[in-house]
Amino acid sequence: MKKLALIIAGSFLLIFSSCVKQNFETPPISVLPTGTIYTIAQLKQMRADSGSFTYPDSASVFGVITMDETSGNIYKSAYMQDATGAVNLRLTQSGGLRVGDSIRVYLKGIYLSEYGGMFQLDSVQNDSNIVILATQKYIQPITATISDLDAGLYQGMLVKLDSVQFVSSELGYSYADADATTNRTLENSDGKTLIVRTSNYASFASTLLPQGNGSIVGIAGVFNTPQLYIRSLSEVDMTGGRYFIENFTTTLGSFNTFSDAGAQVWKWGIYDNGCAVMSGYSGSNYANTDWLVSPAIDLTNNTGTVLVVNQAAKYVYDQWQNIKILISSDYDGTSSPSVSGTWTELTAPNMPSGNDFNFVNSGDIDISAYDGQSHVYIAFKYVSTTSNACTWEIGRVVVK
Amino acid sequence: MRKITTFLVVLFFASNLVYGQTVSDTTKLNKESNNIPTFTLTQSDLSSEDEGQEDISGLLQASRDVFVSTAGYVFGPARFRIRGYDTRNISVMMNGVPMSDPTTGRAYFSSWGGLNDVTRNQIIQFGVASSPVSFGGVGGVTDIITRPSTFRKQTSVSYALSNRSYNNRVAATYSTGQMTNGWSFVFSGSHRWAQQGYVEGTFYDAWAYFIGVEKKINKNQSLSFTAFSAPTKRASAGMAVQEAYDLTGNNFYNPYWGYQDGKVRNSRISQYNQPMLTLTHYWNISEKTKSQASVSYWFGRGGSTSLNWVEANDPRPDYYRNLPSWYAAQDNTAMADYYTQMWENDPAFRQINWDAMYFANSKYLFTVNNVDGTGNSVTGNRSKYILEDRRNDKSQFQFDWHFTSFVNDNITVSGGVETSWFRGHQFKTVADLLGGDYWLDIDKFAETSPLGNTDAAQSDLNHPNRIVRVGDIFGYNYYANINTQTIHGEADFNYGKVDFFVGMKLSHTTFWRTGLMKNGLFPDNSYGDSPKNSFSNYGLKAGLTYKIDGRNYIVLDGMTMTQAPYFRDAYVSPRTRDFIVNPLKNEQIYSADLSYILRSPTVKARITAYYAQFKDQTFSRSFYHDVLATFVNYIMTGVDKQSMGLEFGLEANVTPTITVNAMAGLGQYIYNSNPSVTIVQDNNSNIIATDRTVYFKNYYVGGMPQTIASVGFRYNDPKYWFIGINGNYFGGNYLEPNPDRRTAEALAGMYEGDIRIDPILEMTELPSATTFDFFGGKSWRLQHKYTLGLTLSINNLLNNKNIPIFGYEQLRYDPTDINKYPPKYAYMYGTTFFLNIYLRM
Repeated sequence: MKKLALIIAGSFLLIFSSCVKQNFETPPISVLPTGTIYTIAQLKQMRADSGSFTYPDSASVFGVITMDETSGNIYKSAYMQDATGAVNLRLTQSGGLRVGDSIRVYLKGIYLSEYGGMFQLDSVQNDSNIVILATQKYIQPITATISDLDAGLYQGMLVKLDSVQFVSSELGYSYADADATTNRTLENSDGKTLIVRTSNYASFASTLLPQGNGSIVGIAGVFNTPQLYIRSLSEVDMTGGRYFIENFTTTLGSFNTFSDAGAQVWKWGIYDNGCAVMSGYSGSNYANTDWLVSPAIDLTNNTGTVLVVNQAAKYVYDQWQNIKILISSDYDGTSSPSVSGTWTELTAPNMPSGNDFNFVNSGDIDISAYDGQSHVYIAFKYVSTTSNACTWEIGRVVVK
Repeated sequence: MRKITTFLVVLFFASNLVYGQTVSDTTKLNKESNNIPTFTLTQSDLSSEDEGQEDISGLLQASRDVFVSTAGYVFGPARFRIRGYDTRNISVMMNGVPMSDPTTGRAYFSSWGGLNDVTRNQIIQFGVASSPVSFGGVGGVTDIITRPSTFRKQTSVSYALSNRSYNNRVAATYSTGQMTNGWSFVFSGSHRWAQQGYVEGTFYDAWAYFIGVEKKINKNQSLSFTAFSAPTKRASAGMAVQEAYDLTGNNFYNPYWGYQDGKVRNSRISQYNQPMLTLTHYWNISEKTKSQASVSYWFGRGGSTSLNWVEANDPRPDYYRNLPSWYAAQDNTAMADYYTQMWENDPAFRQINWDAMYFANSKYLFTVNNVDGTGNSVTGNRSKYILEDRRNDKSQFQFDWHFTSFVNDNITVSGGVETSWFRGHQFKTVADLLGGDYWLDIDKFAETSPLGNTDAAQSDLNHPNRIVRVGDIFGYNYYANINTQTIHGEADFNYGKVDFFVGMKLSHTTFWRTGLMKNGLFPDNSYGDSPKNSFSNYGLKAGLTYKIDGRNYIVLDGMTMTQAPYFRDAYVSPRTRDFIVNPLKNEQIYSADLSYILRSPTVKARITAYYAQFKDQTFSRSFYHDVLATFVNYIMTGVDKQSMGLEFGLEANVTPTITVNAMAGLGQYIYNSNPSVTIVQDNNSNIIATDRTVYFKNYYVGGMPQTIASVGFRYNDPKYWFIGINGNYFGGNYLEPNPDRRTAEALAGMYEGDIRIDPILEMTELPSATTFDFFGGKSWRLQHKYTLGLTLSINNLLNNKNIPIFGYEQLRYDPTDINKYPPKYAYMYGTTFFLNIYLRM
């Protein structure tokens, strides 16, 4: 009896164990060959050497997507980056790629080209040129300055710029006009500017430009000159106190002049990409007292404010008391500073030589005593006599 | 006699009066609405389950076999199917009359819900079975005996309290047993109700009545008449995506209800009333032969309401664009945060907004020209939203005859004939205009189809531009005609050491569609009778029991049969046209099982190894595609399924008062072919795909646990009380897979190594779970004639509300982002109880 039971039990187990299921079938999965593997830099060099061409053989390049079409700022396009550089992918169909996708691009049939200086892979077919290998492999932005971009670095790569703000003439506008892709301008305290280009189809196109100073992340695109493309407004953090920046690019800008004595006055000069210049010399020395006064600067939300000035001075002959930088918080804003306002003299850590026209950055002049004041004025007071008339040039004034 | 007749007649009409309906047809329950389009994904309009399981799994709890009864009672609510067999493979009969719905082949327990008192006597045989009343299917035969003379004289009343789909039940049954004057009577009635069941927004209002009369005509003949119905009106619970459950913090979130003027109103109300009348003649033809002949008529209304809308926002609160994830996917964090906040905190926001629909309907002044083709114009507020009632009525006449003959001491022969003429009526009516004046009956999806031809938008070219109001039929209207004839026979041989039986059946099925509307898109294929489809089928079965000794048995069974396709699966889009699936084939089924059984005074045990193969099944599903703005119908042919595994059941009286039971089922239910799929759109005669191969081989058939186990004990005290506890395990439960994802087309543009491939193809297993149940009861004998008792059962003692018991992959999917349309789940209820107090005399 026991034997029979054992035989029965054994045969059950035998029947059962022989019927374990196999793995489920899958539809046929095609293979996209890899071929030679290149870096983005190598491809860029290849194109630069031989001109634009269609890649004829099996080859691949790996990279991570740093900008996709989700925001609507770009269309049928994406930016891909690897350790050596970045490239703009021009897609035949919209969609299919997201930021963070780690992909392999199969190069056969793709047209390597450039557009306005930006290296591109054109005619990329989502269905037959791209394999998505992983997702959410987000690349961190590289901290860069506008000067870096002007120098041609980081083309197409994801960058972060600090301490920038939109120029004051653009405040009150939105990122893009309703009917066309629009350029806006960022400035930094070095006097450099950068275009931020936004499509009117972007989800944030109608949002007003932020008014403060801060950081911005985007793709450092190129169209002859550098242009920044924003991926998402969450990457724009320009809420800090705005810097007052005056570059005197084409005129005396927001500054006013007052001439208390003498015929010579503050004028605009072409040096240092535009400057304000005052000289009491016109054939011979004349006595002058002239003021170059800033508009009211609001330091209500600022802390640790500093003043930075780019200046040059020649023919000073040690008469440094003739050129003074002054500050007031009770000037009335309209009269001559000689009759209105208590003016305090400021000392710059770095002064120009006094005997040449080299512009020198003053370094940070501490005016934090005026933090919280709503109407602060910076004045440049020039005095000349018949025996001493230096030439004073102010290239840039920044209050931050 | 007269009084009784009057009473019967009054009761019969009274039940219909309760619902104000004139009788019409069908037993099909809203749960299986695969051929009825709904605006949520219909692959399962499967509402979460209640104790009255619509299909018969719950029924099986009456079996004496510990495996079968536990499978029914404990695992039935978790949608477990014994051996993975679809319930259409079980022949469910009542007094020898088949109780299954011909359009799907399945029997619905809820057809006699609330009549537990009179349906207690059941002969259940699972698997290849020897039965005089039916050949059965691979799942066996269940025959419910409600013959009035089989009841003993008893009166019982009971009251039950519960927190499942209903909260209260009162029932009363009076049976006379066989009286000396030859008459037997049985009367039973019950009412089950709840203002709100376990799931929010669900009410329950069900009545049931049963009348049985039998008269012994002479020593050998008896005539019985039974009439019963279970008129039910209840509100449904819907399944949702996990995101909705997470946001609301409630795994029983129900998207089907909302507030109207501060009151709860559910949009999915199902209402059934399908009386069945049967007249049976019992005849002991001779000492050795007896027969049973019955005629029955089963008819009535069935249906479920649903919202419909035109030129308006989708009112479903859990529509994917009403969820925060839709906005998060577009990097719109402001809106995503707003929606999250509203979903988490505002109950009205995450449910249907009835007030908004009434408002929208109050101001859409519209003029319809050439109304009903008469040239008249009607101006009024055109409803943008309505509540429609999708009806499923039936009318079925059956004639059955069975006989059993004891040829000699060892041989018994049985057999019979079953015939059925069935006509189901599928149509929809306007249930509520929601404040508007009328609804324009144009297929709203076809209106947006670029055919440039307004005919295409018409539901019925015979009544174009029809204006409908409450109660009017619109949209679609057709009959499903199904006639079957079966002849079966069996011979049983009983010898000392060996018993065996062989059985056969032959059947013939004819079905066709009769359209009552001339559909604008398919004018030549929708109105009138479609061509008739006929199928002939056979079945052969055999079983052998070898008695090793009085306690140990070996049983071996086998069956092979063919099954005609079911009406619901045969028509590509029965609402609009009579095109049938191509090719329409018989299903081929075969199975075998081997068991070892032990029966001793203290131990009953069984271990079985089984195998079954189903070949050439057809399966169809519909879902609403919001971008195509139409229903998309999915028809798969050549589907093969395989079931195999082991079953174990043990019941042991370890002491005279303590019984231990244990059961386990290790199953493997898989698809083992690569079927072919055709995809069609309702509002377009173009075919989206033909004969696309679905790589389904070796995928698990999802939607039910494939591994189950239960261990428990029960203590029976001689002083008439008992308690017991069970621990149960559910495992091997997979999501119902979406066949369209397993095609080469789904992987278009993806190559080896692409990370998007695996999520599209993989099979998702639901986590396994363990629950505990308690049951107990006591009875008292009062004054030597009354028995007062109470029973209490408590399920899921640990109140674990995180057990997903069922889930399906949505048919709509985006291959580039498989999480865009996530699966939908239903969770097992937390702790529920059922307390029944009864008095019998």
